[in-house]
Amino acid sequence: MFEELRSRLLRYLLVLGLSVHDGEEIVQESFLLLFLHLQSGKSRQNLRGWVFRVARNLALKQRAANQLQMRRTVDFDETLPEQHADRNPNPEEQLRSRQRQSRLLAVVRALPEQDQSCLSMRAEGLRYREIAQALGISLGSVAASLARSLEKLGRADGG
Amino acid sequence: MAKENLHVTDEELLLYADGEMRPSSSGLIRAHLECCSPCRARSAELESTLAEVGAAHRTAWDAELPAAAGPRALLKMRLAELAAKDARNGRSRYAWAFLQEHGQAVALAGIALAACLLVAIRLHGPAERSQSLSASLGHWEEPDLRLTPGATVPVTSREVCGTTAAKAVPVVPVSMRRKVFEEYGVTPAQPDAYEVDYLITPELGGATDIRNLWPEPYQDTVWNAHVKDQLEDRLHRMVCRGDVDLATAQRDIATDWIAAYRKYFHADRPVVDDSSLDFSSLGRSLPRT
Repeated sequence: MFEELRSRLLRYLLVLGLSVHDGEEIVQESFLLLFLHLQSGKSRQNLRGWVFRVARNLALKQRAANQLQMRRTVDFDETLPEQHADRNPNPEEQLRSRQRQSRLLAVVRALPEQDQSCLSMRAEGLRYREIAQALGISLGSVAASLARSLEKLGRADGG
Repeated sequence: MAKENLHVTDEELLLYADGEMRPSSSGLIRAHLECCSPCRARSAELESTLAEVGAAHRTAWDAELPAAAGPRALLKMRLAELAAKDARNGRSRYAWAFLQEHGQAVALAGIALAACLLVAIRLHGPAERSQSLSASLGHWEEPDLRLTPGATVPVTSREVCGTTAAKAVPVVPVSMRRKVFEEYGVTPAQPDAYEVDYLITPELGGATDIRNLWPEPYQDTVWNAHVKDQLEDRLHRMVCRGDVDLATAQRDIATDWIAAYRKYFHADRPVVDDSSLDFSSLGRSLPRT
């Protein structure tokens, strides 16, 4: 369970622009806090939403601290692993699918942060109510955000 | 909401697909989708774009993720450290230090921090300590039925399943918690180890009434509060699907919840439920391949 949730959290933290190192730290802290939470007799409803919320808050804090330290610009295109070989034997097909993926991700990266968060948490398999809890917004706002993003993704796809 | 002559909005399609529509609206949407092929196509398109974004997202980031073995070992160590420090310093001092260090985040977790000691010891600590601890705790895997026969509020299964409000389990007031502990003779040093749990969960129409509450141990027993939560979730789903009627579910869980668990899970022991977070597996090593 740790392993599965860790990857999900970590990928999301990377989306938020954290380094792997900071991300790992925050995952650790989130898990420690989750233990405390479970033991304090607090609600065990929607734990995934809870832990994403904690991790996100820690991440935003960390990010603010980092930005104070040094204003570095992240070249997002570097994050697309070129060497990532998938097992599709057809090179043309492979190229097309990779191009399509990077086109989609380029649209995603241009979205406002909250929309990006909704999409990537959905990508991590969270239910909408879990996303709502993690971001502290309503279910309706989650759906509206996703609908908005999908609209943009659809347009980019057509063009 | 979707009128019959209007199409369904993207938002509604998304919520519908995630099972978040009220049953009444859900029925309308289902009916609409059955006869409206553009909306069906749109729904499929939305879900497939989401799936594609998901795949792209994972492909993009997976290459960056280091193996999990290191972080898992680190977390284990930290939990053990937490327990050791806790044992040395006493609970409250440690809790306070932790609070100072991690103030904001901890605010989320609440202030009853120290109980992590119990988990950490169970998972990682020396066996004799864990034994002496559990020996000092009274155990009520199942409630004393004279004190806690169970109590319900008059609701129908429609109401129990229909609103999201019904799913939020009300917090037991502190004064009532205290009474429950008194009733069961739990000393003030022990409460962290217990959840004051509803025998019949409010999700199944249980009342916030002292006759429906008992101190249920979190761990050190096989049939603990986490296991009961699994049963509650399953029964709630079964009632809402119409597999079991509400009265039967209430009676079964109130009479003997462990027997009810065996009955509804067809299992003699608690099963590991992947949809809930199961930390008992944390201590076991699962080498990443």
